[in-house]
Amino acid sequence: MQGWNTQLRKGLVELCVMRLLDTSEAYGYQILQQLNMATGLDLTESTLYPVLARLARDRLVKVRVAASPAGPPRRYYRLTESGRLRLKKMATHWIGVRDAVDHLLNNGGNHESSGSESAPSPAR
Amino acid sequence: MSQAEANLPHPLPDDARRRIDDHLDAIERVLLAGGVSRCERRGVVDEVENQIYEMLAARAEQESAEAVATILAQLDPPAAYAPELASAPAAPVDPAPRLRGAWRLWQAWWSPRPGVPRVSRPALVAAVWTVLAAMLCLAVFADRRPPDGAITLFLLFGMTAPIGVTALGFWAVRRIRRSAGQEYGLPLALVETFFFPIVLANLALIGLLAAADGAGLVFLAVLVIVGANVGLARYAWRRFGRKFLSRVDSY
Repeated sequence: MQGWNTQLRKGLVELCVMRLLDTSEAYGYQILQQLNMATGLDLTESTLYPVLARLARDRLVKVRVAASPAGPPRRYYRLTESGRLRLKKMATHWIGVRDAVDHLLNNGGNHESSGSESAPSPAR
Repeated sequence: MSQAEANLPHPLPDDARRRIDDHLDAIERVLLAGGVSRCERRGVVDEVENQIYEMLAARAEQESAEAVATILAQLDPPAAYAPELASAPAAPVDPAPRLRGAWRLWQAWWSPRPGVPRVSRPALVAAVWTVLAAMLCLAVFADRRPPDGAITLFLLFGMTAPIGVTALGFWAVRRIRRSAGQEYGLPLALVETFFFPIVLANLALIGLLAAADGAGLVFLAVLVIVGANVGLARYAWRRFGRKFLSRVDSY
């Protein structure tokens, strides 16, 4: 079984890729380099390229093929409107998850900040 | 020289280009075995190829063959592409909680496993079935009073073998040809596909020969037997033989 950190990284790739493509278009290797520089996620091509192919299949990104000075034609990816909607939902969800995990890590699961000593409410 | 290579500072030697192609082909095979669509496979493989050439262009000072070797060593192995894009497999039928463990074991044994080439399972089952049928046949016909158990087993596994083994052999051939190197055992599967039809056809013709009365009919029956076998062998060769020989490494 892969390490938990690998699984966590894989889960976040899609969100990070979509955020990157929200502002500008980029080609595969460029996305890989930018993500590794910006996020330290330590991604590799076997994680990223299948995600790009899946996003293109789901029409969340648009692909433009253009000549490259360094090899075969590059495939430039750009977020579509439905991709932006998905990104917005994912970002909202991520912020919720992040806050919950932060709270859990900082307070050890106790509801000290609210002053309540009662047991946590059951998960919905 | 391809357009991709034309942009490189050094021409790419044949060996280096072959190594790149082998790497890309291996990735495609893993994706194919994982049930990834052609469109997505091309997307992934194109990206990897693009990255290789981008990295090569960045290593202008290095000799091409050496650079290719270094780059391929840095990239993820083809097997790393297996789980990511694989379409969600159909949920396996769960016969009963008690059988769950056995069912999972069977599924793991029977289903193709991406990135792990192995002998075709239908071909193996058909081979075992053939041997079992032959042994049961011997047990029933060699003994004047065979035990009831042997007769029952013969009816269950011996009489059904011609249809079962032929169908499994045919299935194995299809699976091997579509597995892109993930399954092998094509010669065995071909033998299983044609073994019982040939045996039964010959038995029928020999029966005809035995019933033939007169030199003319015997000669005709011999001609039919020889003709039928040659025809079947030619069909098998045309259908599978040339492709098999030309791609023998893959199987």
